[in-house]
Amino acid sequence: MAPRLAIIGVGNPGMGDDGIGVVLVERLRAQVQSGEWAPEGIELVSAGIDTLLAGAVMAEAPRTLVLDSAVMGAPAGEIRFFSPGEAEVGMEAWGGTVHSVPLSGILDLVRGLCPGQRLRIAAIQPSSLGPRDGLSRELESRVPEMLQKIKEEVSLLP
Amino acid sequence: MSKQNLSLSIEVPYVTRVEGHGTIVIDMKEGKLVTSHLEVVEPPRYFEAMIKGYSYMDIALITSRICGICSVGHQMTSLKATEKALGIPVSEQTVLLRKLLTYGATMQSHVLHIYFLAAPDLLGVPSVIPLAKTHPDAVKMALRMKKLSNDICDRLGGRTIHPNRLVPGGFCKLPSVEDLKWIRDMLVKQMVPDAKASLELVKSLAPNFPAFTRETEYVGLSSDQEYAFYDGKIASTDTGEVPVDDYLSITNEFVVPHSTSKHCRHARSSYFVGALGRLNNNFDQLNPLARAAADALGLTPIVTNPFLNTAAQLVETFHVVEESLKILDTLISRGIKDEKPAVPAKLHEGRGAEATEVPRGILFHDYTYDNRGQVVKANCIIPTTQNTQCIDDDMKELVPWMIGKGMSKEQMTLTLEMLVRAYDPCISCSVHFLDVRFLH
Repeated sequence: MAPRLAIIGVGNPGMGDDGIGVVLVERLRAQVQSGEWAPEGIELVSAGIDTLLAGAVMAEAPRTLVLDSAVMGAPAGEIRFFSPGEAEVGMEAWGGTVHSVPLSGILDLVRGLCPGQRLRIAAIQPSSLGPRDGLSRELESRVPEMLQKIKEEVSLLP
Repeated sequence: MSKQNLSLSIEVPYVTRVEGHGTIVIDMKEGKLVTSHLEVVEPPRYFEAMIKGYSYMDIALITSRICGICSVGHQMTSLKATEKALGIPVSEQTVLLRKLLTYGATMQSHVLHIYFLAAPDLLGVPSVIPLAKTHPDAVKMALRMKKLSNDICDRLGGRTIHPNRLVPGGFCKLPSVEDLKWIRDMLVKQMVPDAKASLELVKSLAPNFPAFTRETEYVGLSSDQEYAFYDGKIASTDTGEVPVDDYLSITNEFVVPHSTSKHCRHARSSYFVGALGRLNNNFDQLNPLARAAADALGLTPIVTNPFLNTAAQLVETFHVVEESLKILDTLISRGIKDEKPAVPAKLHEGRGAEATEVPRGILFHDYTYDNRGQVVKANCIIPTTQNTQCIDDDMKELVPWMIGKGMSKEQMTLTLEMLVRAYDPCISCSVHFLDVRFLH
């Protein structure tokens, strides 16, 4: 059966809190595997920095929830849900490279491809970004709360 | 625009849709071309120095980090060089699985370049994003092809990039027969039809490739057995074949003031590596679907139009899909044997130089080990290092050619960018540094 919702984690886990999206997807996956969480029709994808993979999944799924870190002036670990039309996602003139396609570019691409695509973004305020494996203490301590909020958001989606 | 007495200055400080940072500089004064080159401005990476002292078990994992696109190719080349240096045998099954992974990585990279980096030029748009509205089916197909090739690498190597199952002597975790059946099924059901649709699209865009040609030397791996990606001798369209051990007689690296990447030359002032380097040396060994694709695109060796490197990549996409199906049939019918990675009988000093064809061309890794199995010396020469002089030489002829066609400055700028993109360069990876020893 095709999934009704794809949850995609993006970011670079080698850059500290930038990897929060990937960490959250992996923790959700662990909960599904242990039976702690049993949602129906959910596909969990760790796209990491491969935003084209994220785009490929978005283009196939009827509904997508993207988890990513976002500098938005909120307290570290705060999670905000929005749809692309509800917030400005900055995008400079973009040509793209083989290594990096900004998520904003992929969101534009998917919106052009699938006008009916129902896209939600879960933006998480990082504490520190920089070369480091693993999350900062501030974010790690709030992961259970983030997971709970994501599950609540998922339960509200048809 | 007439060439006589023309003064022209073009600078593209940040060439987009390529990996890394490069600057195109063109300067013509009173009809004389003073400067025409690609400036590589990336800092050196120091990978060869970084791996000194590390164990042979770690080297492939570290050097795969040279590139996120060619990580599989770096691992393969690195493993082969280590195995040659230390006399580690590998089984036929290991070679077949490594070839399969190499083909998956080639699909991954070629699809990325054809659709996301080169196609916007051919369709007259600045990036792939506007194509979502004008060519939605093609963009969805491209995303699908990219995802499938990612999945192939994941199922075989354990990750979509920087695979973690490959070790000297074999695999630390083998794929299952179910994985192989899934890959076979998806290649037949999805990749072959998508590649055929891609061929129709590229054929329709063929008139948009600039009709510029320049004769040069083409270099690639060559083998009596097959269209070489994984193994072979070094072949040159000018001088024939030499063993991989003699790679330094081909690469002849030198430095230029305008680039942090070294340049290479062999029989002429420069040579070309990549899909055209392979195609021009191995055309007769293309599989039937790939050969039909080459015919449909009008590619017959020697292809001397560098812009057609992108078309050659599509031909190779067909080839690697067909080769993958052959290998999958063999492995599925035999089953996967539970082989443990081979280990060296006894650690000893040794040197091994090896080559693999990665999407952007021939890649060399050369290691010298001490008797504890630790690296004492290393050299990695990547395809873009070998192509940078060829790009410069192309520019020298392309600029007068464009002026002769009466192109505007904007058209010339775009065409120069298209030229650089046609080589599908990995600029960051091209930067490694000279080993300088002061005598006094």
